[in-house]
Amino acid sequence: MAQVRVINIAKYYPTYNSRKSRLASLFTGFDRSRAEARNNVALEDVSFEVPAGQCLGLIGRNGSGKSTLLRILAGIVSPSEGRVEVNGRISTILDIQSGLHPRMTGIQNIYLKGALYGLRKKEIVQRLDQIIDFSGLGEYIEHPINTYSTGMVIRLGFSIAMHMDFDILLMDEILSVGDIVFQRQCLAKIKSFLSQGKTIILATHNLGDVSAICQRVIFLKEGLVKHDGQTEMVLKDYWDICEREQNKIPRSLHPFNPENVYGIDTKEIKFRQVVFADRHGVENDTFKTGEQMQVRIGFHCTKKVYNPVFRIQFFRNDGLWVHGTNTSRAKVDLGELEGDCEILLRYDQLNLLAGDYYVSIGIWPDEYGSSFTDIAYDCRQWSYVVHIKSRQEDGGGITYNPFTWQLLANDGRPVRAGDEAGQGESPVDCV
Amino acid sequence: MPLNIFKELAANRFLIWTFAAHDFRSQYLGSILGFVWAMIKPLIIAGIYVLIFSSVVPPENSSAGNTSYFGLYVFAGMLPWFVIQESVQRGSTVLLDHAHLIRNHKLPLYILPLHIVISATVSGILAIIVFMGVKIFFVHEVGISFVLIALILPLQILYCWGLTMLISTAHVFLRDISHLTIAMLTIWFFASPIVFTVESLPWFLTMRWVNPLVSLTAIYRDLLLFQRLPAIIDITWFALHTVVVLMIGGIFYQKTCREVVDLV
Repeated sequence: MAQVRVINIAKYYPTYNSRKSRLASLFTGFDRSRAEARNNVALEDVSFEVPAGQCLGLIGRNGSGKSTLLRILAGIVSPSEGRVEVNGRISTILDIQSGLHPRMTGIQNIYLKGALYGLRKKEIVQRLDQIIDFSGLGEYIEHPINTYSTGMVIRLGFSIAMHMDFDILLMDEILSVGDIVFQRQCLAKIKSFLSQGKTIILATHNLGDVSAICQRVIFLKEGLVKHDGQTEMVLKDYWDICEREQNKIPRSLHPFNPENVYGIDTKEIKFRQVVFADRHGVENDTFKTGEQMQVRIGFHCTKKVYNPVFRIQFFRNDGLWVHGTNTSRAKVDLGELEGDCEILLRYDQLNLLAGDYYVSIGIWPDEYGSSFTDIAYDCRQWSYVVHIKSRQEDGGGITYNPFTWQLLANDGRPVRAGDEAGQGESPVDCV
Repeated sequence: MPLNIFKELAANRFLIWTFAAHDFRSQYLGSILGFVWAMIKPLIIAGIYVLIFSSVVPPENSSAGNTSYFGLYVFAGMLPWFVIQESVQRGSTVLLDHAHLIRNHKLPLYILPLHIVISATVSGILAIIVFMGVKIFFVHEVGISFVLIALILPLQILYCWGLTMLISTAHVFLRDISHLTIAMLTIWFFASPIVFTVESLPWFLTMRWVNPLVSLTAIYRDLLLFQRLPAIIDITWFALHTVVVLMIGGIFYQKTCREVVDLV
C-alpha cells in the first residue's frame, strides 16, 4: 500500500509584484494573478508513490524544487494543482533551527519545539530524559541556546525531532549540517527507523548519504521529475549532468597559489609546462580505463636545487581525493637539478573509472634538505582535467580493480572445470 | 463554525500557551527586574499622562474630582488600552516575524496573532494588579467588583485576536499595513476617553458604535474604580464589537491563510 501518493502536483509561486493583486483576487475570484504567477514554476506535473518502509532520496541542483516538494508533502505549502494523499503521521525536519528560541534554555526549547510538533505537555515530559540523553548536552541543557555552538544547537534540534511519533519522516539537508561523527550518528538513527518499517523521504546534496540509505531516488530538474528509479541508476544520471554543467565553468590555470602562505616567494623552481599524453607520447586529455597515461612535467630551476619533491593528486569534482603520489614516497632520488629539466610520470595502467578528474601538481622542497618544507616551489591546484572513459564491464564507482567472476557451485548441474567466467564477460554490477 | 474554532483552540491549548509564555518571558529575559518591568512600565506611562493632563485639562466638575482621583481615572482607562496597543503593535508583523517558522512547520497560523494577544493580556493583568495597589494606597478601599474583570478578559482577548488576525494577514499582502496601523493607534488613543473624561467630552457616548474603547474603558472604570457593576449598554456594545471584529478577522484569515505561506 502506498503510504504517500503524489498525483500530478504543480506549484507556482507568486511573483513578488503580484502580491497586491493576489489579495484582491482572493475576494473577487478574479484570477489574473494566478496566471501571472505561472512564470515562477517550482514544480510541475510531479507524480509518484512511496510504499511504506521505503527510503526515498530527492536530489537535484539548488532551486530544483526539492524543498517545495517536501513542504507540500508536509502540508505546509498547498500545491497549485494536483493533490497529495498521505496515510500516517508525518514528522518533518525541514530546518533544524526554526522554532528554537535563542535566548531560552535547552529544556524550554524542547517544550517549545515539542509543542510545535503537536505534542502535549505530558508527552513531552515522558520523552524529556531521552531527548536530553540523545542530544548529549548534559548540564548545558539548562543554559540558553545562544551560548551553544552550532553543532550543539543542531544536536538539540535533531534529538527533539527524532523522538516524535511518526510513520513518515521528511528531512531536508539535515545530514550535511553537523560534523562527520554527528552525521554517522544520524545515519544510524535513520537506519534504525527504516528497520522499524518507517518511511523516510530526504532531500540532500550528499550523494554518499543517498547511496548509503536510499533504495530509490528521484532526481528533480527545474521542477520536473528527471529520473525516478533505483539509487545507482539515478545517481549516475545526476552525476553525468552535474559534470557536464561543471565543465562549462571557466577555469583559470592558477586558482590560488598555496606557495605563498607565509608571503615568501621561493623562485627556485617554476613550472614550464605540464603535458598529459598517451602511450605514444601524443598529448591527450581523454583516456580509457586501463590505458597508459604519461605526465610530462617541464620546469626550470633558477639555481641548484637538491632533490625536490614532485607531487600529483587526482580529485573528483566534489573534492574527493582519488589518487596521489609523490617522488618522496616513491623513494625517487632526483639528485641535484639545475636549468631546464623535465620529469616523466608514467601510469602503465590508469585504473580510474569514467568521469572527469581534476589534477593538482606541485613541486616541494625535499623534506630534509630545506627549512621551508611546507612552502611549495610551485603548485598548480585543480589546474588540469583528465577525462576517463570506461566500458560497462569495468564496473562502477571510481576505481577499476581487475577482477574475475567465477561460479563455484550450482546444484542444478555440476560445475565443469575451466567453466569460469572471464573478465568482463559475466554480468558485472555495471553502473 | 464558531464551535469548531473553540474545539481547535482547546486542542491546541498547550501550543498556544507555550508560545504565549515564551513570548512573555522572552521580553524580560536577562533583565534584572524581569517581569516587574511589566508592572513599572504602565505606572510610568500612566503617571506621565496624569501629570500632563491634570495641568492642561482641569478635572473639576467631573466624576474624576481631585488630582489623585483623576490619576486613577486615567490609569483605569489605560488598562485595556495597554493590551490593545501591544497586541496590535506587535501583532501586526507577527506573521512576517515568524516567517521562518511558518515555512518549516505545519502549524495553524491563527495561533501566532493569538499568542501575542495572550502575552499582552498577561502584561495587562499585571498592570491591573499595579492599579489595585495604587488604588489601595490613595483610596484605602478595594471592593469586590474588580474580580468580575476576569469575565471581561476573555471577551477582550477575542476582540484583540480578531483585530490582530485581520491586520497581520493583511500585512503579509500589503506591507504598508503595519505602518498605517501604528499611525492609526495614535489617533485611536486620542479619540477614546482615556486621558479625557467622558463628562468633559460627552460626544464620546455617541461614538460607542464605532469605538469599542468607549464601552471598554467604562467597564474597566466601573469595575475597578467606582466599584459597581458595569452598564448593560457598555457590555452589549463591546460584545457586539467583539463578534463583528472576530468574524471579519476570521473570514479574512480563512480566505487568505493558504496564501500566507507562499508570501511570507
